[in-house]
Amino acid sequence: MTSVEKYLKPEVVNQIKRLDLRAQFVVKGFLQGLHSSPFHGFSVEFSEHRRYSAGDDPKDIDWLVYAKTDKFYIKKFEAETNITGYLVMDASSSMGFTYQQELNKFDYAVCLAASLCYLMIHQQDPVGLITFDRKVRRSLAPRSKRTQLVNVLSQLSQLRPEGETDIARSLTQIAAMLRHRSLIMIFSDLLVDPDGVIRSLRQLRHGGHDLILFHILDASEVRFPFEGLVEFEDPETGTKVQVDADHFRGDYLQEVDQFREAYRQECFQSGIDYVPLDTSMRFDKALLEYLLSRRSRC
Amino acid sequence: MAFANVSLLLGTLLVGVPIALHLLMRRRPRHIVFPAIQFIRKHQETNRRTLHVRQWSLLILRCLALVLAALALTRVSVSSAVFGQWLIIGGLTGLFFLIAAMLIISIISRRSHLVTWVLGAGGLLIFGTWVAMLITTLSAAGPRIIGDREAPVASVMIFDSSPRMAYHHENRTRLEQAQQTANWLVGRLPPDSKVAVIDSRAITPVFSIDISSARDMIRRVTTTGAPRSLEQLLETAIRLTNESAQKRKEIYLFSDLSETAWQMDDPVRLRRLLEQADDVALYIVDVGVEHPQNFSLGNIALSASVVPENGTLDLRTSLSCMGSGGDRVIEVQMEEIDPTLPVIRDGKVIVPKATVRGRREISVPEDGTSAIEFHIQHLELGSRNGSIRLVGNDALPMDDIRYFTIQVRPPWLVLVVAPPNVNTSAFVEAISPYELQAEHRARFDCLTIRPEEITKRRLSDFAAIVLLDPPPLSGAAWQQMGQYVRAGGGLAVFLGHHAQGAQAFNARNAIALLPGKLGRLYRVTGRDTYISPDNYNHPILQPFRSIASSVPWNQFPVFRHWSLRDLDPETQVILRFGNRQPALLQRDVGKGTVLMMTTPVTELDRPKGRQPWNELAGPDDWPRFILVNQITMFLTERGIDPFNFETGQRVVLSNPESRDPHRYVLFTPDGETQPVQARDDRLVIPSTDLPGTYRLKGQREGPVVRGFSVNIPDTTSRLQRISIDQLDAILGPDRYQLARDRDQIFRQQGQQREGREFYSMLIVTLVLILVFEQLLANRFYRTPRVAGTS
Repeated sequence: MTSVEKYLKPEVVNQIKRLDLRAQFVVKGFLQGLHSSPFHGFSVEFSEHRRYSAGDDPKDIDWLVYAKTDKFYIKKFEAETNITGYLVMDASSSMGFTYQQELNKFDYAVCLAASLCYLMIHQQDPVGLITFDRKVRRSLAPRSKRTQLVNVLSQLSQLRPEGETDIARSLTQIAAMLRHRSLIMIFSDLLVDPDGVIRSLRQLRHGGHDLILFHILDASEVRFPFEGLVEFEDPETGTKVQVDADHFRGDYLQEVDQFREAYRQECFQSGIDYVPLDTSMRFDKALLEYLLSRRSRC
Repeated sequence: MAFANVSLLLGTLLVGVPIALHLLMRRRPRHIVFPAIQFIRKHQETNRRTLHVRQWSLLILRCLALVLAALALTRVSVSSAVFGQWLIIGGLTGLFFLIAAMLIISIISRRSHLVTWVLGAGGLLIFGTWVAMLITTLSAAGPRIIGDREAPVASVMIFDSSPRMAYHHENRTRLEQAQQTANWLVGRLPPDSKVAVIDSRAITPVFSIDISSARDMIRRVTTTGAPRSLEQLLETAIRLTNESAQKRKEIYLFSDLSETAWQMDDPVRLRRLLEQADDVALYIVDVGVEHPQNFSLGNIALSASVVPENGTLDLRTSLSCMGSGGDRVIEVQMEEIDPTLPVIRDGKVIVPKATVRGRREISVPEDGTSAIEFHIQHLELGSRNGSIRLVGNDALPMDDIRYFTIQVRPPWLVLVVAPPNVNTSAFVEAISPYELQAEHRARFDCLTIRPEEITKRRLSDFAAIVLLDPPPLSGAAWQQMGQYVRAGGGLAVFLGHHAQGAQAFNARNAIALLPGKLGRLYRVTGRDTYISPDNYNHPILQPFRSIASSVPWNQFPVFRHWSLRDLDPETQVILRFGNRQPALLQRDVGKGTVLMMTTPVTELDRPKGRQPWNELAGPDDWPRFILVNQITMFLTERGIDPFNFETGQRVVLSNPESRDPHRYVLFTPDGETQPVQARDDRLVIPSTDLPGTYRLKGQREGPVVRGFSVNIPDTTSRLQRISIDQLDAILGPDRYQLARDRDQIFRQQGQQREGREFYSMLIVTLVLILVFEQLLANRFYRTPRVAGTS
């Protein structure tokens, strides 16, 4: 593992306090890792030339080609498909949970969102940010300028997970907000009734949007490492449940698997990219998922 | 059920600790904030029930472990008789708990109703069986046990000290073996125990004051020729233990387990006694030998205890073998006559020298018997002691010798009174054959006279008077004969055709002597009437006893006989005819005896001028021959004392002051002497426990020596062993403990005193429960590897 790739690990990234640096390290590490990956050759590098036309950024003119051909050509990049992306962040209090990880679900989601934002801005895709809990709280219109990265990262760093959540309502609200076809990347633990969420996802998909659903759970929520008699409390509702964790683990894991499988099935049928994650997983999986989704769209 | 440490039973109250901990100090669950609670809610109820099952399972296991530990420490024990039942109860309890656990799990996990119902029905069935078993076991709790092995014991040691216990095996007698074991037992008794020793002698037992006196009592036990039955000994021992204040009572019976020893007169009564004394533990200590090897002489049958001078003594006995047979030499010894002996010289009793009068080698098959017969001739006058011995040694010496004493005397003088035309020779020849008379070996010396000569004779000179077919006699004759009889004489009257004129026989003097009045004359046609004995119990009929069914009385028909009426109350009918009329009668008058036969024994085949009265004197008339001899012997030897006794018999000898010394010295077979004094013309020797020759020596115009022999009954030396089934039948199957060696005694003692302990089983079960509890607890309450935070 190179020195950059190590930043794909959440526990390493957590050591970096500045979000912009986090995103930078994650993306660089991811891109460097791609060269040795099965996706060799795939990158956001130059792909073809096209004739310069008015409105193109003069700095994209390939001067070497001009020297050879005396014509203005500009470099065409993969990212130049210019898909508008929205980073949709669940900022409910459940996202602030972690058991043994230093990075909670929200931090993980923010780091991932920042990385994606960095990557997209780097590819000159306009990126916007929407946060919600019971409803949409904040939104930042998509821009492709480099300053947008600063704005997004600034917004992300200021977010604190709190309150209950209503994902279905929030997604419905977002669907109403977005007028153009966009790539909507949702970061949530989805710990609500899935029927409403799926309905809202379908609604968004029906609106022509592409969706990547990053289902982020804490490692303890996926593995249930508890032992002995435990009283669990829901941070959002305050509901308490007492169980014998040892005996319960099997049932719990089965339940989580069923839950994820239900989303996977539904997302597959609806053409939504469903990316189940937990906070112990490296970020490259999420980034790769994004790139795969983007390529299929071009 | 008993507890060695009953106070530790309070330890079962410790079950309250885990229950209290469970109820009051429930473990606080760790609190964790957890958003994914929706995945938990669905299975929460099932998990809660499972949790409860686990908690209660652990609680039950811990309580059970505490109860088992407390029970194990109390050293709970039960009687061996119900040990198996308690094991079954324990097994049923475990099964019940198992099914109950399965039932709870089934209910919690909501299995099918069929499974639940089947388990429920099974549980109920087992519970019902458990209750029934518990009630049955408690109601039949077996012998009471004290629990503490070291509690003082009231111990009674019974020694079968019959002569059989002198059987040698491994260089010691069975009695010595029993004494050694008893000494060992006494040494092992708990402190403050009481010991009483009972042996087969008739001695009143008491509890010894200390162990050393108990050992002394054990040491003094010797064999006795007149053993009391084990039934009596056990009864005495039970009575003795009942008088004891000790709570623990034990009877140790040392026996060789021979069949003879265990023949009980009233086994039902003994069993009842043992059942009543259920607090008394009975140990049968077998000191016998599994396969004994022994030769034994049987009882001696003498042809007569009074033998005529120069006569022949026939001795019959048998040699029995137990085990492998072989050839053995038997010899007869008879002491020479020496009126100066016995005497004590240098502290030793000197007895007359014995000479061998016969020797025979005899072969005995394995576990068989061979008869032996000796004929001793040329016997000199006087009281003669002798013995039959088995030459050589064997394991049980006491039955290798048999003693006998006979009296050799001149022939008895018999006065035969008969009318002229009576065939007296038929009688005289029968009791005193001419050949024997010629050789001076005849038993009787007969003087034949006419009836009218009676009054001319001094009747006291005669041992017996025989009236053969007497005619009516004068009153003086009857009176004289009456005096003779009352003085101790014997009179035999054989009525015949001369007894015409009943009035003469029914005269006052005659009636005073005869068994009854003369009645009518019975005339019988045909040959269907003959002597038909009801039994052969009378001594006169003794020779017929062994051949009772084959005596050909029907070959000797009786055609005529007298009947008697108004029989004297003292009259005994010895023989009857087939028509139930008396044939032979006995009446004791004063010191004498009168025998009357209602038909003659001297009838000729064809008497002149009349029909014969019977054919008793026909060809092959051996029954008449024996009968006549027996009648005469009965009359002559009636007053003679017996000379041969069995051990334990009370010996009474006549000792007329006018004839015999008043004081004697009794020399017992073991060389001891003791003075004996006559009272009421009798000598009484109460104790004859030792077999052998007893000699009485007195002084009356010179030394007078008498003697008698005492033998152990041959049944006493039978060594055939009793089976366990027979022993069970006598004592009850679970009423006794049988032990052969010290280890077995120790083990049986433990089981009887403490019962069968559950200690080891309880400890094993406790360990299993603790292991199971640990496994469950580790599985249920594994501590988290890493402490979590919320």
